[in-house]
Amino acid sequence: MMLLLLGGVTIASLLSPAPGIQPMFDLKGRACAAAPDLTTGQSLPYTGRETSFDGDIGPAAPCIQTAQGAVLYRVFQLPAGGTYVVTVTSEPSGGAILLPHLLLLGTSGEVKREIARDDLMYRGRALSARFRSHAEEGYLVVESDPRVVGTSVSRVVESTNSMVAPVGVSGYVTIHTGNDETMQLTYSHTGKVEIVLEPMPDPK
Amino acid sequence: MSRMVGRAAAMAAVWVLAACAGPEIPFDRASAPEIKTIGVLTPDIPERPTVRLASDVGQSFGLVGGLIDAAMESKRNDRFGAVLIEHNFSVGSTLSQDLVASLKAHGYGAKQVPVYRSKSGFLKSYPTAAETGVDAFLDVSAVGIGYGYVAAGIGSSQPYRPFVWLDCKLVRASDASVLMQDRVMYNPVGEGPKQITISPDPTYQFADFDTLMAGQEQAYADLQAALRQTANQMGTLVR
Repeated sequence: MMLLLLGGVTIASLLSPAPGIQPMFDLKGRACAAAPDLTTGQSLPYTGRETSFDGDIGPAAPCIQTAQGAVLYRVFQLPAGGTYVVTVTSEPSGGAILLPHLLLLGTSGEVKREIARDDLMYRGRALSARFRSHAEEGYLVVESDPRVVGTSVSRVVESTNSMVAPVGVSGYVTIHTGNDETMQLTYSHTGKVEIVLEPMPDPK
Repeated sequence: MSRMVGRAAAMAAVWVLAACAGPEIPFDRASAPEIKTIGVLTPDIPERPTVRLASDVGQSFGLVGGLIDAAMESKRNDRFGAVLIEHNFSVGSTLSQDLVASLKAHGYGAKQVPVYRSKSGFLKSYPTAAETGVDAFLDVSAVGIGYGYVAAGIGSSQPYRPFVWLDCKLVRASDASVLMQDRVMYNPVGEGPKQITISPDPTYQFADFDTLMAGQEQAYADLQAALRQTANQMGTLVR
């Protein structure tokens, strides 16, 4: 029987890991620097329109030794001028997810702001932090969080599906089904990360 | 009959409503240091809970199936609503108290500010700072049916779990500018990419509606906990 997916959210799409990032739970043996190398900062060109950037942290990302332990990281150079919204989103990948630890540094590398763990929230199936830019912040550092790496989180996900099935020669019937699944994710040093810069939204 | 048709249409519309979120505006406490006291406006939320079966066979049979579903849902709502009435439960009052507690926990002065709402959604105009003595208002409005219990489908593998679906907006009292706006959904059925989603506590579950009613004290407590967790999330948004 040919079934046509009409709408709703399929549980498969919710639970399928995004491809491509190998989870990493241990950084033993890695020679880590004492501080992030800001010269490697990737520029985030922004022209005032919503723009997204790949912020993936893979196994080959550089590492630093923090007070909490070794972490993988990436540095991004924030555009100067004006207030805009920064969204950092971490998506599940292969049953794992990166809990990003976010630092905003001044142009000389001093820490201006730290995005607290509680400020990371699930939006849909991804973890994200959403905050306004500050003029004095020149760099965004995305780190893994050694305090949680290796621990797991489970999330209950309810969803519905609608499918159309043909009946007879020209008829059809819409079949509605539901799903109630528990998604298990383990926090990793690596993960799929997206950074979006956008203008301040107009309230409705 | 027309009431049932309306209810069936409302059931169909809730998922559409859930998709129409406003823009998510992050709060920036550093740029709003003058906000020290927040008034929690009387929330816009239906007094009666909804106990929804999100998918079932009846939905496959057009208007007739929709009417049957609406009638069954109405009975569930009445029965669970009676449990809340027995406890003298007011969702608006409970949510307001939870929001005030959460704001205080995040370092604000907070108090309830009663307002009259003539229609659903965020208020179009706000009280003045002078008449309320607060620096900002937290305006909270239910998304669709707002709160209650929902099961994704039929069967014990798709149990009833509490849900709370709310939009929130922080408005500066002096000039009505929007400081923060977002959507927080405890146990959304179907997850959009933008709304803040709170996973339901896995222990808050009832295999079917009869089980829920048999454990109504627990169901009542779990619903209160879901409301409290949603309010706490909103407090986190403005810390």
